[in-house]
Amino acid sequence: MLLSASSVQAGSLKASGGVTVTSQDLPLAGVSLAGGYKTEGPNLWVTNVDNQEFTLFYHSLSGTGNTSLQGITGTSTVTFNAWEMGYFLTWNLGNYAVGPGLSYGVAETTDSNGVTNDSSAFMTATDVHYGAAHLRIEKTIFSINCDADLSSFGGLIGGSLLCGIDF
Amino acid sequence: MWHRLLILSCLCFFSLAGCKEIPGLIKHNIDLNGVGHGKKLYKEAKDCTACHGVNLKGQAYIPGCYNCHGVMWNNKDHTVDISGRKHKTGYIDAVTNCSGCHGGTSLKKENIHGRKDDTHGRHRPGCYDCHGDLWSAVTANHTIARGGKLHGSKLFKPFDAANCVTCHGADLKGSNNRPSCYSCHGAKWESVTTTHVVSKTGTSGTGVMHSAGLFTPASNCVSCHGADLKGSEIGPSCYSCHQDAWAAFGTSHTVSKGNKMHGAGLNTPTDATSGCMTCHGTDLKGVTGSGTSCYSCHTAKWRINELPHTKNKDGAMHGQAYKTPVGVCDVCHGANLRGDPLVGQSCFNCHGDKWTNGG
Repeated sequence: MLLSASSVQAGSLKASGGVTVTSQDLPLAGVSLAGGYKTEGPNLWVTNVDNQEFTLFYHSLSGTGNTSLQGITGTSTVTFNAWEMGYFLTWNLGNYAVGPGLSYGVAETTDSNGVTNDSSAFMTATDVHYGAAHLRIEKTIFSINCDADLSSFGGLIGGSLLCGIDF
Repeated sequence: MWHRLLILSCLCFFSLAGCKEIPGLIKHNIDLNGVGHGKKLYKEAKDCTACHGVNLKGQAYIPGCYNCHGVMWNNKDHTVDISGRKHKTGYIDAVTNCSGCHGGTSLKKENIHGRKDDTHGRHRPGCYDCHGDLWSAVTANHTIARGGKLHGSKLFKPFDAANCVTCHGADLKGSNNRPSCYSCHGAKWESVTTTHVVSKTGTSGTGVMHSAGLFTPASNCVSCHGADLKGSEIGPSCYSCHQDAWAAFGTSHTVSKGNKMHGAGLNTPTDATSGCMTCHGTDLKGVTGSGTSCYSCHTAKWRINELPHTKNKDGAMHGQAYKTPVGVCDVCHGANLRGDPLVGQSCFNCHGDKWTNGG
């Protein structure tokens, strides 16, 4: 990807943090940190992309609640810690930048249950790999940057709101 | 133009990179109950998450694993491979460790919660699916824990008819999904049936087979039962039946009489200093799991506990009537006081032939 970049492109670095939630099965919530490198986007044959960004996320999420699966109901507690690498393309629309992204993550999960028959569809494991598709809405005021990402989150469906500095 | 193609190629690769196995590119050609599975199947469930979702419930058009599999399917603790089937550690105590998911205390699939499609066999299996009805005895009869495994109550006589051989095979090497005894005990254990021919009553009242050299365990038993006789992967701990008081047996029973090892105080067993009563009971009639009854060899005529020998004459303990032995001592010490091998020794052993004439 970098090989395709113009030699005159100038990029900016981003550092941000915020909250992430997921919505499937047992909702998870927690904090996320992100570091990114943003440059002018590439020229595709149908359009010029205004921005491209490589982002490294760290998510630390957890959730407790009632889960039900195939007739088994109980209380589950899940923790989810993940490193995730993403690539985003965005177009400038007014004061916003909007566009899709793809990412790949590796997570560590724990799952504990308050019932004998596990009602949760999660697992306790390391190196849980997942792929995710994103839709990003970005707004930058001076050097303050906020990214709202909707994410498939490896099937968990969720989103992040991260704010930080673009320098 | 070239860099546009490169970008699109990278985007395609990146979008597919989330799936470590891609149907059509890397085939899901392992057929289980009519459903194709990828080769990652044989690793762990987490290796399927890249495509099938972090919680294995699928994403987009990719199906979830739980569409067929029941709850708890992804548990990692089913790590013991037996005949190609993954079992949870502790499986031998199935009622305790498996019943929660595999059918309750009956361990039969009709009681399994959350099963999916019995018609096509896509259910969390009942234990009887493989083990068959003969296996029902495991829950009722296997109640004795040895080395973390439950054994049947007949474990000490495995080759007797209707004991272990009924299910575990005539050679005890497994049959019809019943495990081979040798899978834990090892090949050395084969000698148990040829060398363990002496039945001694165990704590459960059943006969426990011992080696013919049981009275000298330090010489005859340590090779299988451990140097400290506390068990090895081949033989159980002797202390599982004998209790701690037995620990002194090997070092304290050094006098061979009648082919049995006795303690050094054998001639004064009712004397507290002899130590006999500590393990064999104050009446010397045995303590379960500690010391056998002296009367099991000596016969009822022995009665030394009733007729204590407390008179010390020249270092040998004598009965009260030692001065008038005829008619009293000869009850046990034999006609003419020449001894009875299981009751009383010959008085002539010490007194010599001169004693015949009152010497």
